[in-house]
Amino acid sequence: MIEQGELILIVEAADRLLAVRAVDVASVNEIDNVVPVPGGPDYIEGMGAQRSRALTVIDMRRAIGIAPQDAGKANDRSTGQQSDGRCLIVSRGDYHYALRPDRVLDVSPAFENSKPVPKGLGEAWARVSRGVVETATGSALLLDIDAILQGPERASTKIKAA
Amino acid sequence: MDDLLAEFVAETREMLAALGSELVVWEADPSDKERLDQIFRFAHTVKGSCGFFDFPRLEKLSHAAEEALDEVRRGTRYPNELMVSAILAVIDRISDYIDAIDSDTQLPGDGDDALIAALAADADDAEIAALQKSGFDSDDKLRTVSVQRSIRLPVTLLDRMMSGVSDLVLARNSLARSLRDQGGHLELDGPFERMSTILDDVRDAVTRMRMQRIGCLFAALPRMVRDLAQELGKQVMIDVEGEDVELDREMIETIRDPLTHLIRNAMDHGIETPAERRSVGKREIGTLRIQATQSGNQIYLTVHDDGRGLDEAKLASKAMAAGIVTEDELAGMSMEEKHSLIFSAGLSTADEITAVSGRGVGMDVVRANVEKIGGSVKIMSQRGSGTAIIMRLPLTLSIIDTLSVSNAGQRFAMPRSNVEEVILGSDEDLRFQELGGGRFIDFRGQRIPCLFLCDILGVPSEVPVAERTFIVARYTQYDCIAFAVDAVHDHEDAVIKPIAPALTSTGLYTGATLLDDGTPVLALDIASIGLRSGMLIGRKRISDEIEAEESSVDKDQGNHPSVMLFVGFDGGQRCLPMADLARIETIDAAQVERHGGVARAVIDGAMHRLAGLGPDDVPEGKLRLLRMNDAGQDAYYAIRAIIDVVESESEVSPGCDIAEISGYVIIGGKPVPMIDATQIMASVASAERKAEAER
Repeated sequence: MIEQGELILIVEAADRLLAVRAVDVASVNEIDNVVPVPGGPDYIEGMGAQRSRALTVIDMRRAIGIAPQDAGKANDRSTGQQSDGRCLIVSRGDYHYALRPDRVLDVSPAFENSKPVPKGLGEAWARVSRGVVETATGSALLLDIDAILQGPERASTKIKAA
Repeated sequence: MDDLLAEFVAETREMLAALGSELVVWEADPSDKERLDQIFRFAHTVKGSCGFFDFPRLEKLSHAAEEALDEVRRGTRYPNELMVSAILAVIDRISDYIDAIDSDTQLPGDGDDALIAALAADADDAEIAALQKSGFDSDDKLRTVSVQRSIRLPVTLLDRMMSGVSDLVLARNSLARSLRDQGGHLELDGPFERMSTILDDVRDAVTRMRMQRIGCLFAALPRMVRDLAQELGKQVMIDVEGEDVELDREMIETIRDPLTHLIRNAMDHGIETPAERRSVGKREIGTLRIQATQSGNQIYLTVHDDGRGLDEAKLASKAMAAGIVTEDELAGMSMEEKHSLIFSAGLSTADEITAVSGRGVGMDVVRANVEKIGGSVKIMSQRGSGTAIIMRLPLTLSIIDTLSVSNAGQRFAMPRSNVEEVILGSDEDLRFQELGGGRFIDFRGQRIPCLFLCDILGVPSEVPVAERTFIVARYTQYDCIAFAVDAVHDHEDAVIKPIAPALTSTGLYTGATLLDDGTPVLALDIASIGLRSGMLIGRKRISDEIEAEESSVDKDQGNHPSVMLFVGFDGGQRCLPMADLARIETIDAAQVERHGGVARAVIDGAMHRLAGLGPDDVPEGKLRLLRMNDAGQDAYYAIRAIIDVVESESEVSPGCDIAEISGYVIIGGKPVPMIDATQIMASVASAERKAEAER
């Protein structure tokens, strides 16, 4: 449901190109000072802050439900590149979140209307995808932000064991 | 309206409200002379103002009330329930007049004379009873006790001010730190302190703008319950807890009506008549327990009654009849789901729709109101035992006083409100103990259960236990828990910000605050942590204690007996061990016969001597009796009024040569004589035998 020309924010996680609508993101910021939340779910990295707001920092890989080491095949884009600490800041009412991808890449307009989710993505990816969109950087999977905020299925029933 | 008149209206309203509530409190302990004097002064002041402003009808009414109170003060008249009711009726009438004056409408018609007649010492019960029925809706009484001289403001303006002050406070804290670090600028200290004090004041006032103690809502409840109980012919004791929990004012207004409705429901449909309660083995006096607690960023408000509970079969059939559910749907429902049917619109399980409640529009409106503010309501009930309605309300947190603690190098914030004590591990009076699977600290003779923060969080601490700091948090009158932390650093005002539901659902945190350098500090959910630890004995309320005492076979109470505190016929306070109390009876004074200084009455078909009445005591109206029972022997002890069931604060100190008294216990800091049930029963028995022999 992205229309041609809409601005898309492109990020990378686990060697995949991922996209979110630019308007859904409040800002992109470096979030460094993250304190851990003992007893919290795995996919929540911890608490951060931005301009007197408390942010819940979410590790996108874990939130999607793919194991952190599962980077898939070695790929040019990811080799040796460090994350620059930038996160996507989104809000849901009183709650503010920082979504941390491996890297934030670019903002670009969609080349054409988005296409539906293809088959064969795997359960974890299918849960968080809403379609595929073509951008200057390449084909990117359009993400469902709420699905990411919710965390992987397991997290809702299991709190990280102390 | 005239400025002066407006003042009169406002002040008189305040006086009347105070009068009403003090009167009800005094009724429970008529021997409190100071309170009676205060009440009399209120009445006197009201009369004075009414006279000054030339309201002859008002003056007449208040004069009648004042006179009645004066008679009691001087001891020429015994207070009783009827008199108090009559005075309350007069207060209500004056209130109505004040409302009419305020709104510039016609003063209500006649009926004043009837009210004044009811105050006379020998008033007819019927007259008073009639007054109460024609009565003034208890609902309105709740409303007249409102804040005077107010103005309307858009809420957004208030919020802007509040967040401005919040930021000001944080800026001040940060400035304070910088000043400390810089050091040496002595000439800045004075002005800074001044600014700081003023800011604290402003912050206080601003917090009060939005937040209000829920106790303000609770204040009107004893009176409401009393009036309703009388109207319904039931005996109900109200138990209120959590008055200090603070809520947004707007929210308090929104739950006022639902709370009223729930209480009415509980008293009307839940709590049974004394006779019915007796027949199922319950105490005659029903208990209504209202409790407010804060957990995480929610407030829980519970209305609990120990009445007959929900009849889910009846509820289900009514719901089916009303077309709300089908038989198939019912078959698949759990007990709790069936109970929740009570929140459906258009449903009433009351056999008669009484004037008090039961029009079938109540419970669904309650739920709608609560959900409107983002809360939820749940019902839990057990047939025969009682019902609990639990309202969950979201909390808008503002600035909270917190203690900054740490574990394994990470800081956390603990709310300071419940903290009773902070004890260093090195304190000589502190001893740490591990007993069985539990941990405790022994501090100044008190053993307190202990939790380690490192265990709660699952992050090990490197600090040895003996070097930690113990923070004692109080939960209820009987429960506290000591939290062992690595260190306590600071106390500061913190703005607690909401955190993701995924984090609050762990039950560990209520929010997060930010330090000046932007580091987030998680705020611990002490309430939830304590509850889930299983170390709290539970809401050990007085009424729970009664249950425990009543079921104990052994009459030997041990150290601090649980007693029934009451007013004897001579007006003095006395008490009777709960273990000796079999039942409370009420009979008509007309049933009492006096011969030769001995009072007798026919109770349950047998003639009994009544103890507790002096040779000149002539009971009027209804007579309350405490029934004692031991090995087939009965004795009935006449009293004027029941005060409460309490736990004595001391052991029984014997040595009293007054007949009927076994000794004294300390209650409320004062010695109260304890009735010797054994002796009374023995003397009644021997007197009966003597009488038999003589016949």
